Amino acid sequence: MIQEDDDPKEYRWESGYEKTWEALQEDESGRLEPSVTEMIQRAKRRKLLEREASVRLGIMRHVYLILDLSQAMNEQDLKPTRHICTLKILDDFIKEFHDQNPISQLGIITTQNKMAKRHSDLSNNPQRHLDCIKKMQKMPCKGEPSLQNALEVALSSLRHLPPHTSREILIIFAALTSCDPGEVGATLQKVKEDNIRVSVVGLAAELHVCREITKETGGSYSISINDMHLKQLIDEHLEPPPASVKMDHTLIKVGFPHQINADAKPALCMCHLDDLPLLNTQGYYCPQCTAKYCDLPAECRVCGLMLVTAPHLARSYRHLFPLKHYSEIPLEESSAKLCYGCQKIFITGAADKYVYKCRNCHQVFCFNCDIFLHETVHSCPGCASNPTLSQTPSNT
Amino acid sequence: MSMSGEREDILLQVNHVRYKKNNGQLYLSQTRVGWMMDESDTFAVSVMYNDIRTQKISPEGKPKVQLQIVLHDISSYTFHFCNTEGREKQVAERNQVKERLGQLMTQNRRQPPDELMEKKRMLDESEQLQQLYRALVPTAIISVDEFWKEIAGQYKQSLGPQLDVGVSGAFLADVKPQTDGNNGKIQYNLTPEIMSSVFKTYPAVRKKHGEYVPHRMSESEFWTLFFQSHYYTIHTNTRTQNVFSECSKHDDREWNRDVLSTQNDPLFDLDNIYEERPLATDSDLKIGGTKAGSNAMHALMIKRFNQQSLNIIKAQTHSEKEKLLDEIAAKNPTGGGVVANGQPPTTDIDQPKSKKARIEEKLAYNDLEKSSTTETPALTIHQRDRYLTGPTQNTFSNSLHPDQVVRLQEQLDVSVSRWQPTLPNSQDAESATRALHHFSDSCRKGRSAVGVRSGGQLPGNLHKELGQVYSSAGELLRHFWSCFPPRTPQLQEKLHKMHETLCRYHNVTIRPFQEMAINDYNCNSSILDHLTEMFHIANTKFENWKARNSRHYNRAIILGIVVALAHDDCSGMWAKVTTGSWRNF
Repeated sequence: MIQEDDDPKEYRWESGYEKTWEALQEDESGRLEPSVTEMIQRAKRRKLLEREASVRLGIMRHVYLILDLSQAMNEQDLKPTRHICTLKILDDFIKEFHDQNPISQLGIITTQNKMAKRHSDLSNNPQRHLDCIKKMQKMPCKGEPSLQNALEVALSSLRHLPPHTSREILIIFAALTSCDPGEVGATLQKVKEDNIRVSVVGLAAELHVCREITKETGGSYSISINDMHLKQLIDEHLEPPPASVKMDHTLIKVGFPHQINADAKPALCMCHLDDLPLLNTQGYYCPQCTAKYCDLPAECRVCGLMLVTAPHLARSYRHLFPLKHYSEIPLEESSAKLCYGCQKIFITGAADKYVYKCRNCHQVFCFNCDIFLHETVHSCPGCASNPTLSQTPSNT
Repeated sequence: MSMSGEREDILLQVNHVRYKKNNGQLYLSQTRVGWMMDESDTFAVSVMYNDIRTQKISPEGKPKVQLQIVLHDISSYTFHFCNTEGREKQVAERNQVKERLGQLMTQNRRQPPDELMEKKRMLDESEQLQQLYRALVPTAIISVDEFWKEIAGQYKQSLGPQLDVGVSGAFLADVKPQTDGNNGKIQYNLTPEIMSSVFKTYPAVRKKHGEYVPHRMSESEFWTLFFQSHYYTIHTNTRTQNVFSECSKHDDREWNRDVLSTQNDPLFDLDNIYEERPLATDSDLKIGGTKAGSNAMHALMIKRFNQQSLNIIKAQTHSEKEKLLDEIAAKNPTGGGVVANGQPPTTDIDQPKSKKARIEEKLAYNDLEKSSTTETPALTIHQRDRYLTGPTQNTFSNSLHPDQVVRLQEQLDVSVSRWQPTLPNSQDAESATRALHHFSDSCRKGRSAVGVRSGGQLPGNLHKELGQVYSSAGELLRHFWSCFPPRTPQLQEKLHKMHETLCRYHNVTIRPFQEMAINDYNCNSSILDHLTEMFHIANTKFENWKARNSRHYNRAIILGIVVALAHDDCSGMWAKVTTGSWRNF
C-alpha cells in the first residue's frame, strides 16, 4: 500500500475522508470478521451497561407520534426517500411498541403545509395505526411543517388524561424550518405545565428550537446518520422512560375478563359496531358492564374500565425485576467448556475471549447468549432451572 | 327599537346627518347603529351589526356625501352627511363613520355566526352523530339541549383544536409569475392563502383593501397595482398618485422606528452596519442610514427584504397578542371595553429583559457547565412475593426434608413404571352412559344458539337495526357510567337524569324492537338478552348507590338527633358516646 505522508499543516477536512478502514486489523488467519465482531460487541455491551436498574418507570404510556410530512421528506439521502424509509421503520416500531408495552396507547399526527392533522387517535389497537401508516405512504409530502400546530393538536388530547400516566410525544423531524402562526414558546409553556415529555429524532441537522423543546420537557434529541442509525434511535423509545417526579402514583381499577363464560349471552362486540359484527359469544365480556370486545387489551367504551389479561401485565415485570448484568471474565479463568445457554463449545480466540457468568447461579454463557438473554428473554435459564434458586426469591 | 332597556355606551356620535330628508344624529354603539331625529328621543332607525351585509359610500364626484348601509334582506338605509362647515368636514365625518362601522361590524362578526348552521353542518359531517340524533331526540328519550350539550360536545372535542396558519418566509417569492410569450404580459396566480399572508404581514395593505375594494376598483385591479408597487418591484414611480404610496410611507415610518430601537440597544455592536443616526424623513429613497456600499439600488433592495422579514415576524407576535386579547375578552364578556386597536395589557412576553439578565444569558454556555443529573425517583418494591406468586395463604408449606424428597421421588419412579391401565375398574357402566348422555345433550344445545339456524346469520335489516340499537344504547350507557363515582351534586343530578333516560329508552326502543323481532322476523326472543342484561346491571348499580346514599342520609339524621339531645342534656358523657358510635358505623 502506498502510504501518503500526512502533511501536518493540513486541516482535517483537507486530508480527505476519515480513514475508518485503518481501525480494522486482520488477525493471524487473515480474517477480518473477529475485529468487526469485537467492535459490535463492545458497542452493544456499553449500551446495556448504561441502563440502570431500580428506577421508577412510567409504564402506562400515552405516546403521540408526530411525523413531519413536509417537502424535506422528499430528499433521497435515505433510500429510496426519507419518507418511505421512515414509514417502513415506523411500521416495525408500532408492532414492537404494542408488543412490549401492552398497556400503553399510541396515536399518530402528521404535519405538512403549515397545518397539523391527527390521523389516528390514541388507542391500544395496532391494526388501526398500521393501516394509517399504509395510507401515508401514498400521501405526497409538500409544504412546510409547523411545530406549534402539531404540538397544539397533541396537547388538546393529552391534557385530558389522568395524571398517573406517562404522556409523551415523539417528533420525527426532517425539515430545517418551522412555520408557526404564533410563538412556539407559549405552546412550550403549556406543554411543560401538563407534564408532557417531548423527544425529537432529527433526520437533517440539529435545530435550536428542537433542542430547547426537548431540554425544557426532559426528553431526548438525537440526529440520525443513516437508516440503521435511525432505526436504532427510534427503537430507543420502545423502553419506558423514567417517571417524572411530578407523576402521581395511584391505584388504578383494572378488569380481567375471562374468555370462557359458561352462561354468556350472544352479543355484538363494541369495537366493531360500525361494520356490523356477528352476533355470537366469542370475545371478552367486561366484568363491570358486560359489553363485549374481540381483542384485549382494550378500554371499555361503555364504563371506561381498562381491560387487560394477566399475561399482558406480566410483560411489564421485566422492568420491576430486571435481569442483573453478568460479570465478564476471561475465558481462561472459567472452568466451563460449553455455554450453558446454547451448548456452544468455547474456542479460545477473538470471538470467545470473554465469557459471562451469572452471579446467582454461576453458570457461564457466551456473548450471543448474554445479549439475547438481556435484550429479549429477561430471565436467566441457569437460575430458572436450578430448583433451589427458583423457589426462594433472590435478594436483589 | 329603543335603547332604553340596556345602557349601551355610545362610541361615536355624528350630528348633522340626514335621513329621509330629516335632520338628526347618527350614533354608533357596541352592537348597533342608530339614527335619531333632532328634538326626538327615540331612535327612528336602529340596526344591529349582525344584520348589516355591507356599507357603501357615494363616489367622489357626487355633490351629496352619503353613506348607505345594506342589510342581509336587501333593504337599505341611506344617510346624508350635511355638516354646515363644508364639504371636507362632511367627507371627513363620513369616512370616520365608515371606518368605525367597519371595525365594529367585523368585531361583532367574530361571534359564532349561526348556531343552527353549525349544528346542521356537524350532523352532515358525521353519520354516526346523525343516527344517534334520530334515535334519541324524536322519540323524546333525550331532550334536544341535552343532546347538543353532552353527545355533540364530546364529538366536537374529539375533532381537535382550531388551528391557525403561519406566514411562510417565502410567500411572496412563491407567487411565481408566468410569462405569456406573445404579449409580454405576466400572469400571477393568486390564491386566498397568499392573500391572507399578505394581509397578515402588511396590515396597511389590509386597510387599503378594505377601503378600495369593491367600491373603487375590482380585486384584480387592486392586486395588479400591488404587484406593481414597491412591495414587489424595485422601480416605483413616486410621482404618480399610487394606491400604495401611503402604505410605503407608513412602512418607512415603522422601519425607522424599528431601526432606532435596534440601534439604541447597547448590547449590539452595529458600527459596521449603521453609520449614523437615521433621519426621520418621509421620502422613501433614504435608506435609514445603513451602509450599503456605493450602489443605492442594492441598499434599497436590502432594506426592502429586511422590512419584509421584520413584518413577517411581527405578524407572528401580533397574532399571539390577539389570541391573548381573545382569551381575556372571553373571560369577561360583559366588559366590552376591549376594542380591536386598544392597547393590550402587557404580558410576560412583552417585558423587555433587563440588561443584566441579557448579559448573563450571553455568558452562560450549557456545554461548559457541569451536567446536572436529573433526579429520577427510585423504585422500591415492598413485598416482593406478592408480585411473583398470586395471593395465597400466608403459610409456607412445611417443606419436606431433602431425604424424604429423594425417597418419594424413587417411589414415584417405581409406581409409574409399574402402572398398568385397568379400564373395567375405572368407572361403572351406568354412570358412564349417564355422563355420555349429558355431554351430548349439552353439545347439541350448544352455546351459540341464537334462535337462528346454527351457522346462519341474522337477516340483513334486522342486523343493521340491531347494530344501531347497540350504538345508541351504548352511548347512553357510557354517559351513565361516566357519572360514577358521583362526588359532586351536579354528577348526582346527572346520574338521576341518565337513569330516567335509560328507563325511557328501555320502554320506548327496546321493547318494541324485541316484539318486532319476534313478529316480523320470527326470531328467538333471545337476541336482545345481552342488551337487557347490560341495562339490568346499570339499574342494579344505580339502586345500590341510591340505597347506600339514603342509608348515609338516614344515619346522619339519627346522629343529628342524638347530638341535639346531648346538647340539651349538656353532659359531656353523652357527646362522647355519640362520637364513639359514629366511628363504629
